[in-house]
Amino acid sequence: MTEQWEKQQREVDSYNVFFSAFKGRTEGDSLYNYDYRLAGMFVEIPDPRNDVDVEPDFALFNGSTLLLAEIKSGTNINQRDIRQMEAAEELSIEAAIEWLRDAEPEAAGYDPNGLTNIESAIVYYRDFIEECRDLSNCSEALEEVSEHCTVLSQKKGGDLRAEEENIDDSELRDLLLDGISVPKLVDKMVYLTENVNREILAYAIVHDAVLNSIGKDDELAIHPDEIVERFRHRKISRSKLNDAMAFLRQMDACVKISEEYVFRKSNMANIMSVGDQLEEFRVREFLAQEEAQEGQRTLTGYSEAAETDSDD
Amino acid sequence: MKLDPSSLSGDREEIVSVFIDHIARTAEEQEAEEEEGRRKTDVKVFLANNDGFEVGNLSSAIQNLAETQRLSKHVQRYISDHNFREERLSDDASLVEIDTPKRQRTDQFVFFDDDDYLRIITAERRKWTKKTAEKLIKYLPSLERIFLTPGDLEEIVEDLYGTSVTGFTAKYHSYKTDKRASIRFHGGTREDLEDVERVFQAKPTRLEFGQRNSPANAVHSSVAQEGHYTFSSVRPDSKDRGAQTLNELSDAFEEHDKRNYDVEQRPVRQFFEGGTKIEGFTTIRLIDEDGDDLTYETANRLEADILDGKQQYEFSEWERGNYMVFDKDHGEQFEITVEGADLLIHAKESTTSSSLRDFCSLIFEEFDSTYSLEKTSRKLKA
Repeated sequence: MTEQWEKQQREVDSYNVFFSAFKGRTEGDSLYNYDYRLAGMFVEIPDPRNDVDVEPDFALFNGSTLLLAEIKSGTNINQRDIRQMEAAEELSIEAAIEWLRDAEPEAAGYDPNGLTNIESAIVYYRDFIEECRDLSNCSEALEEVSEHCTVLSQKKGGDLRAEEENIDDSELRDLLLDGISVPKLVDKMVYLTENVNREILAYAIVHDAVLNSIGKDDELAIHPDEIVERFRHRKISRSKLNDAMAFLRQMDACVKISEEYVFRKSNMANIMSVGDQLEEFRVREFLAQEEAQEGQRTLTGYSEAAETDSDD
Repeated sequence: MKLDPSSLSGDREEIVSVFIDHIARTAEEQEAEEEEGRRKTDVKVFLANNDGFEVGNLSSAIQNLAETQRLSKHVQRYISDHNFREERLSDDASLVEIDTPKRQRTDQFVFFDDDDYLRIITAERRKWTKKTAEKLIKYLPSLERIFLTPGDLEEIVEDLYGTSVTGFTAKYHSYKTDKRASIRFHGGTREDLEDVERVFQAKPTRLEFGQRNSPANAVHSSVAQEGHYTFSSVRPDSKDRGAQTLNELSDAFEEHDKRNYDVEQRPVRQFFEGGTKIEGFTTIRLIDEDGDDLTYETANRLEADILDGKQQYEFSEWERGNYMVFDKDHGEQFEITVEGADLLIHAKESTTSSSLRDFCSLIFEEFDSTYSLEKTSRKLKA
């Protein structure tokens, strides 16, 4: 398995493990059971008066407390983490109420004006936190970030729990000190990484965009604009999208017909094997190889100029 | 029993009473029949989830089926071996006749439209219903036969007034072992069933029961996992009770089916000015009561026996025990996570009860008969 695919899976999992602790299961505690509902994911909460923009991955609201969670899957605590959490600390109740109005929590029976408390948290994987505590630089950074927010750790097949807590809401504090158990394997609510790597994008196109839409038809034609629209909670560059699509074509998961990409049920075995291929290949390396081979073929053949992609 | 459409009104109660009359007789009369070898047929009800089939439109449904591309040989043969006639009795009922010319037979059924479900009632022999109406349910893409869990069967019988178990079929098979058991217990009681469940881990796939109507048993019926039930006799003074039970059973089957498989909430994304929301989720958990921690063994067997083994599915593995599955028959995707020996089936954006029901029935029939089923459906967005 490529290192990059492993990293991308780890990041996607990190969102979904947290999501699992939120949505809960039939039994056991969850944030859902404590009346938290999803006010938004990948949100942008502007606070012009304090001159901050807060962009947590999850904003959960229970009618009075807004829990903002920033999910990390990396293996260091960097300055960006600390700056993000400083900004979250600055966020005023007024600005949060303003944002909540757009989120329309009334449908769940919550009044934005009910907001009285903001809790912000950063979430790391447990294995990283354990390593971090043994390293002096890292544990200093951990201490620094914990001055601005609560630090949570999560572990698949373990729990989500508080490592360093600054929680005002006593109910939430008790819950997170006890920990919320999470399964070893989590289902996918989130498909993309923050940077929308080409590999995970190819995966999300297949499993989220195509297979949820193809239905009983024999084929699905999809325009790149529709992909951008569908994943508009993430910034997708056209060059990455083109690469992901080119990869899917090379894998015979789809064919390109004028501006559209056509996925056919008769190719379902290829479509479903994209995940396996992504374990083995990086999209750009694979395309470069294909291009080189294509170049050789054309040199010996018609000596046409090979098309080159000028992006990154 | 021969139904004459001109004598059948469209009234549901009246139609049901015609069928109840067919099996109404005293225990003595029944014994005499058996001795003389002229046992009457049972009344049978088959229930199917209905996604677009309309009572009164059978011929166009058959026509559409026949025109489907790459239709399997079985279905082609089924269509050419039978003639189908439908006579409308009312807005929501019709008399359907399926001829089998080679055998010079005509089998009769009454179809009732019940919103999301189709109820088929008949007094034909099971040997023939299997070849005619049950195949129709199987082949028409808009119909999906109800499939209940063993726990559902026990609950349904328990919830009816004055019932006692009088016999059962219980089965055990599991991917964990080569042992298989199918136990048919005539005259068995609830205690016998409990013993069988305890000793062999066998779960009921069919329950026979009697229903009291003062003082003694007045209704003899049986319910089966595969979305059908039968009435073998109703005491002549208890026909109202019989009719009531017949309706209650249909309602109970449909309720349990909905409870198990309806996808009330889906993980659909919504966008607003300041972010994204996810509507909700629905997860079915098939629970292994032994609680063994067998994630990898279970995952390996699930891959080999079901996901790889069945034409219907294509799948992709995120990691061992976590699969995205595409059901080609229904054009739907769902996700599976294995947890211990439990299977969790997660609905995706366009998953409906059809693919979930189909998958779970396959698991019960071919993978492990001992699961119990629990569904969680939650609205998540604020």
